[in-house]
Parts: sequence; structure tokens; C-alpha cells
Amino acid sequence: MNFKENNKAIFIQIADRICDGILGGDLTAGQRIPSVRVYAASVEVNSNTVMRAYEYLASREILFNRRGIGFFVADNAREVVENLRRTEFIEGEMNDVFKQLALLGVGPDDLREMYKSFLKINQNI
Amino acid sequence: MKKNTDTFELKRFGETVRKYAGEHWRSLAMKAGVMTGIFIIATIFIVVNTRNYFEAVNSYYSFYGEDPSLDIFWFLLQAAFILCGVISASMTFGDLSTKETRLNELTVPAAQSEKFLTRWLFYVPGFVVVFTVAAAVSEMLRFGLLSAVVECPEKVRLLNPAYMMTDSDGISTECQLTVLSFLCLQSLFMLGSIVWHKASFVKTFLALGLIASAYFFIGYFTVVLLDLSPESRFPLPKNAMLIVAYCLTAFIVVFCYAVAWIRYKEMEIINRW
Amino acid sequence: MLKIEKITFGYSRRKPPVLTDISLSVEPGGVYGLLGRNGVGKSTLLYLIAGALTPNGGQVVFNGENTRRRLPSTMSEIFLVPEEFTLPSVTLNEFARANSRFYPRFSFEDLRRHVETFEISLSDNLGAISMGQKKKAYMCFALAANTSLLMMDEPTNGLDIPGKSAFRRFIASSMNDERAILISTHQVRDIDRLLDHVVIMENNSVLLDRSVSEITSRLAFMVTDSRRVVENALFAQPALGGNNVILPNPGGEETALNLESLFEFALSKTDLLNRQFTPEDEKEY
Repeated sequence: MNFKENNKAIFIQIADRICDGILGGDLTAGQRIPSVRVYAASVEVNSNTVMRAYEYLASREILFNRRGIGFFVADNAREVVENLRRTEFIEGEMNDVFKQLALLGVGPDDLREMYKSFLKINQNI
Repeated sequence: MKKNTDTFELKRFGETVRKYAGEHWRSLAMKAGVMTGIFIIATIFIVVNTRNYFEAVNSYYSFYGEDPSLDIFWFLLQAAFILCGVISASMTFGDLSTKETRLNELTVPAAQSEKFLTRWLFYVPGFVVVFTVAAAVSEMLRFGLLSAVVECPEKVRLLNPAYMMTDSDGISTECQLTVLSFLCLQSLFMLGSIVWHKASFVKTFLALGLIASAYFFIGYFTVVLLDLSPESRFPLPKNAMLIVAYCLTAFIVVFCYAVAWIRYKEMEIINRW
Repeated sequence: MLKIEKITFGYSRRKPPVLTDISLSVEPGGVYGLLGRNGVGKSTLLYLIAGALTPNGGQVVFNGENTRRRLPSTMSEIFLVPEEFTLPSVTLNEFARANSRFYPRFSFEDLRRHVETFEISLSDNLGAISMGQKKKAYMCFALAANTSLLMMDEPTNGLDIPGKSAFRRFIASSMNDERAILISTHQVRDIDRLLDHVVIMENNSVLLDRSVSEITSRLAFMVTDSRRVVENALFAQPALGGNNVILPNPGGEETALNLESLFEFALSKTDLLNRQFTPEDEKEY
């Protein structure tokens, strides 16, 4: 059985929120992220945890750090985030879905048809 | 950024005094007011009771001149000095009776000597200043009232402390003994205040009463048992007696202040001893 | 910065000691949580650190000085916000003016900022406001004193929900490399995301003393309804949606710390918990 909740580490949850902001367009390339302490206060979390989130995103080149000034959204952050999310999805949730499909006997052709009709109905995504 | 020094610092002492004054001025003012009020009432009482004696002044010789109310006033003033001094001393550490107030007192970042002296400043020298003011106010009231109500106002004399306190040999014995007993008793009651935080005055008074009675009874029974004749009891001249009084006072004052200081330093938020 | 060395303390000789041989170390730059049930000795430990009590054995050393000596230079770097306290009947502004001189790094600018966060006013009379507001006022002063060690005893007691939220914001924005904040509480949920270091106390001793990063790298915290997982877990506790479980984390992804579960784990299976932190070769024995 699956785990109900991933209970991801807080710094990962913070990083995810920032990535959501980048994908959604709230955070644009070159924009400055709030300082560690300001962000920590707004989400009521230890500032070392926020720092860890920022450094995690910086190591994946989604943010970059200008010493003394702060963290900024990288120029190609949006692409990087999309790629990361895609990889995560394929290796994670999609893998689980495929397991289920295989178990339930849904073949690749059925899957293809279902996906096609889904896209036709939900054209706005 | 300046760092705090750990020894007594005059500037920081000023800060602890300021802090104490800011937090306690209401209760201090009330105590001063009560004392002054009682003095005023007592003065009026004296005036009312002695005004008639001014008529018979020709046949009445007062040690201090022709104003009979002055005797009583001066005597009561000395008694009040000791009594009020002692009450004031017994309030020095009175507010340290709860865990919260002690925690506050202990964690203020000032030297313990500064904190100790702050309290002493208000309840001993501070008392003397307030007492003097209240006494002056009462004296002016006495003089003013008597001059107004008596038929021969020229007989009313203004209190002259310098005159009252001296005699042929310099400062009078009576005056010296008053000051010495003040110092002695005040330090005992101050010590009582740090030992007993609640009902300090009463407890110290009873304790001293007990000690004095024990001393008296031991002395009395010693005399009876050893069958000492009356002649062999205290044939000391006045000067020797004064010296004994000075030494005794010095000893008691030093002892009380030393013990009070040690207890203050060792104070904790709970009462261990 | 702060070293508590084998402290033993009891309030009276007739009763058993409240603290036995407790040793802890606090370094600047983090928020330490001192967790434990009511009556376990957390307040006593804070009083001992502040020098307000004398240990029966051992000593508390702050920057090289024994705190019991009550030196002004030591005390001006330590601030304790007790659970219960009395404040004089003056305004917060007057209180700050009278008391700020004792703390060399006190900042009125910071005081104003904190007062705004808590939505109180400098002209509030400290004797006339409610207990919750008094707490907020005193905490504003405490933080504005900028001492290198700030200790708070049950800070969220008496605060309403917005107050607790303001408290978290205010702690989160006050952390810096030069100061350590030590929060003692039994309300674990109020502060779980603020901590860098967890100390759990029970039965006059310390059950656990670890940093949050050590804990989350060795242990995984999850919610599950799989019976197999629950049976094999180090610790499990029923909760909404299944069970809160604690599993060993073999170097995989870190999960968020569930402080309540950790606390219950520490209380019920102390040895098992501490064994998770010993290096592999030691476990053999």
C-alpha cells in the first residue's frame, strides 16, 4: 500500500513553493527572492531551514546568490524547474501509475486512446 | 559596544536607583506622606495641650528656656526618629517576598553591591532626609500655631537644633545616645527585613524583645545567684559608658550589615534558610 | 557559549532531586527546544542557567564564567522570560527607558518593530493590560535587549492563536549567528518548525539532545495505514488518517520532523531512540 502522505522535509516544501511560484509566473527571471529572515517569518519556520531551501535551489541552478544582496531567480529557472518536475513525475508518480495499470491489465493502446480523449476535452490545460 | 564591568560602577548604580525609584515612587511617597501626616497631627496635639502652660510661665522653669512645648516636642522628635527609622529599615527588603520579585531582582544585570546599596539608600539615608523635612514642617506648624493662639506669643521659641544637641562638653550625651541607638536598632531591623520578608517589623521587634528579655533575666539571675551588692553594679563614669555604647553600636552595626549583605548575595528565588 | 556541566539540583533534601547530572551545551545561531512534561524540571533548569538558583552539584558556565556568580557582564548577555512574572505599573516605554541601560545592545528600533508585530503599543500601562499582553510586551523587551542568550519559559502559554503566530514570526525573524534562543515548553506543536536542536527531559535527566538535522537524517517520519510498516516501525502512534510512524532513514530522502511523535518515542523507548544515533559499528555490541 502507498504512504498516505510523503511528509517531505520542510526545506523541500519551501523549495517546492518557490518552484510553484516560478512555474506560475509570480516569480520571474532575475527577480529577487525575499531575504531568508523575512521569508522565515512569513512562513513561521526556522531561518536555517529557509537558508537550506535557498541553497538547495541554488545548487540546482534555479536560484543564484549574489553575496551581500540576496538570492535571485535564475534566467532559465522556469525551464530547469519544468525539467525537474517532469523527471520527478516520471520517476515517481508516473511509475506508480504504470504499476497500477499493469496490475489492472490496461494495455499501452488503451492508455493512448484515453489520453487522447482527455486532451480533446481539456484543451485549456 | 561597551561591556559591563563587574565591580561597583557609579553610573550603573545611578541606573539601579532610577529603576527602583521609577517602580516604587508611589509606595515611597505614600509612606512619606503618612509619616508627615502623623507628625502634623501630633504637633497639633502638642499645641492644643501646651497652650495653657504659657500663662504660668513665670513659675515654670524649663531646661530649654521658657517655651514648655519645646521640651515635649524635642523629646517626641527623638523618639519618632528612632521609631520611624526602625520601621523604615524594616521595609528595606520587604518586597522580596515572592518568587517573581526575587527573580526580577536577581537577574537585573547590575552588581549585587549596587542593588543592595540602592535599597539602603532609600530606606536609611533617604529616610533621614524625609524625616528632616517632615520635622521641619512640623516645627514650623508648631511655631506658627502657637504664636497665633497663645496670649503671649513672644514666649514661643523656635527650635534651635544646634542649641538642643549641645551642652557644656560639646554634643550632649542624650543626643549621642539617640544617634547610636538609631544606628544600632536600624541595622538590626534592616537585618530582620532580609531574614523575614513578611511582617518584618513585628517579627524583628518580638525577636529583639526576646533577646533583650533573655539578657535581662540572665543578668538578673546572675546577680541574685552571685549575690552581688548594689554598690558593685555599674559605678562607671559617664565617659566610659559612652565608650561602651560606641563600641557596642559599632559591633552591632557592622555585624548586621555584614550578615544582611551576605544573605542578599546568597539570595535565591526560593527560601532555603 | 553555554555549558551546563553535570548539574544536580533538588529543592529540598527530603524530596528527591529535580535534576540529576544534567549536561548540555548551547551554541549561538540556533533555536533550542527544551521539551518535557509539566513538572519535569524545565523551569528549574532555566533558573539555574540564569544564576537564580545554586546547583547542589556541577556548574553552569557561560562564556567562561560561572553564572551563579551573577556578574553583570554575564547577566547582561542572558535574558530570561519566565512563565510568570510581575511588571511595574509604568508604560512599556518608561519600562524600556529604565531597564535598557543594563543591556548594552538594547535597541529601541527593534523594540518598536516587535511591538508592531505583536500589535501592542509602547504607551500601554504594564500594570493594566491582560496577562497575554503582558507576555507580549515583556517578550518585545526581551528580544530588543539583543542578549546572546534568550530563554523563554512556556512562551506560548496565555497567547491566543494570532499571538502564537506572531510569536513564531518574531522568533523566526530574530534568529542570527550571534544569539541562541532556548524555548522551554510542553506545547510541542506551537514551536516544532522553529527548532534547530531538540532537548527532551523526563525523570530528572535528559532523554535526547540532538540537532534537528541529525534527527531527520537518521529517522524518517511518516503517516501510513499499512500494517506491515506499522509493525516494523521503531515507533507508531495512531493518528487521523492512519498511524504516525517513525522509521530508520537509511540515507534516503529526508522527511519533516514530527516533534510530537519524537517526543512520545523518547518518553516510551528512550534507549531504542538513542541507539539510532550511534555509529554502525557500535551497534554491533
